[in-house]
Amino acid sequence: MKSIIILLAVFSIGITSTSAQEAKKFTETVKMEVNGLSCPFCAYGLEKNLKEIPAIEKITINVKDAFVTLVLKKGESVLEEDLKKKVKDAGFTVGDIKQVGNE
Amino acid sequence: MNRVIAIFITIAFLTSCNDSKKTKSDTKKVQWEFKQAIKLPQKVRPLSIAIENDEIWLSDPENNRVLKINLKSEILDSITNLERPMNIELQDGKLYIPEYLSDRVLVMTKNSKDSLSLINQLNAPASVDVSTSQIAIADFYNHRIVLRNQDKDFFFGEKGSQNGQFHYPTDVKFYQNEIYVADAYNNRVQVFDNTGVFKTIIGADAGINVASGLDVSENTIAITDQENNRVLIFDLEGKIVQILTEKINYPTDVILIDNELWVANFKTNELTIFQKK
Repeated sequence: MKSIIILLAVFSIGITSTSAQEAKKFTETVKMEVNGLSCPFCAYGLEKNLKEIPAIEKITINVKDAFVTLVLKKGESVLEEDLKKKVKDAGFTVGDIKQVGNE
Repeated sequence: MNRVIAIFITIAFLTSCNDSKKTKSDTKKVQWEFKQAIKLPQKVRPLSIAIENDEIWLSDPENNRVLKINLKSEILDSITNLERPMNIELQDGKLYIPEYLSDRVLVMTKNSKDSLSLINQLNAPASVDVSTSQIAIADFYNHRIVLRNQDKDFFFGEKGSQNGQFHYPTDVKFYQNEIYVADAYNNRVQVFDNTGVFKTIIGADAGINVASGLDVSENTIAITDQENNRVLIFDLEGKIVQILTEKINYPTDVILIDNELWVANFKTNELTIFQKK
């Protein structure tokens, strides 16, 4: 019985920690790799979708190297899953997303 | 040994016949030849071209503006602070500007600025064309064409790859009671009657990789093959006639005017002009 309780406890900790990871937030400046980003129709479409996130102040899309730099409004943050959804809605998949500080 | 030589001569003769036939056929197909390239000011990234009565306008969505230029590449006029102006149209002195980010189609004259009022909400209008009685808009993210007759508008098309379906339409043109649509990511052009009933497909087996821009004139359909740096020329029956590559770099729009064919090269600051032989 004890071992079952221990297993359940470990399992529940695992779930909690996974949930915490999924709710990853970014602040200040974010660099996001976007797979398949090449043409202007796509790039501006992605920009259009990302503009719907109120916390974003400035969007710079680098079509040549297929990444997007987002500058967030001071004191505001954005969830990783929200970014991924907007990229998906624009017809792309996300590569690496990382915080790059106040660039 | 004699037999081997005879076979060799026969093969050589047949090969030579085939080569001369091929050259003759290719020569016959050449209708357009390179005329000139217009180097634009360095920062300009031309996505589309519109010409009427020697007025030349370009959309430059990278810089949120449209520009009026002359053949010397001098900027004569500009409209700035736009929201990603895409494939523009110039008709009867009116400049139609589809704004990708604001979902509006602006109608500008020298003294006025208006926007089209539509029942169907656009999502990233990529192109607009105007005929005597209709206006057509390529509604990129809705995968459809919005068609306005008089004061009413309706749409045709939906997302997909079957006949009459679209995968991100980027350009639309009227020609002789037909509507031609650049069905960009289905890598083809589709032709409809002027009520939106599907008629035929052009270029489906031409190896196109993103058919982003098109124009139609007497017996000629020109399609930009954006990712392959080519412009493909078809006749109105859909037979390929010529492939243009000279000085073409990431073409997003093509227009046919008089005996010339103009190409907007988005990733360079250059327009390419071909002339009919």
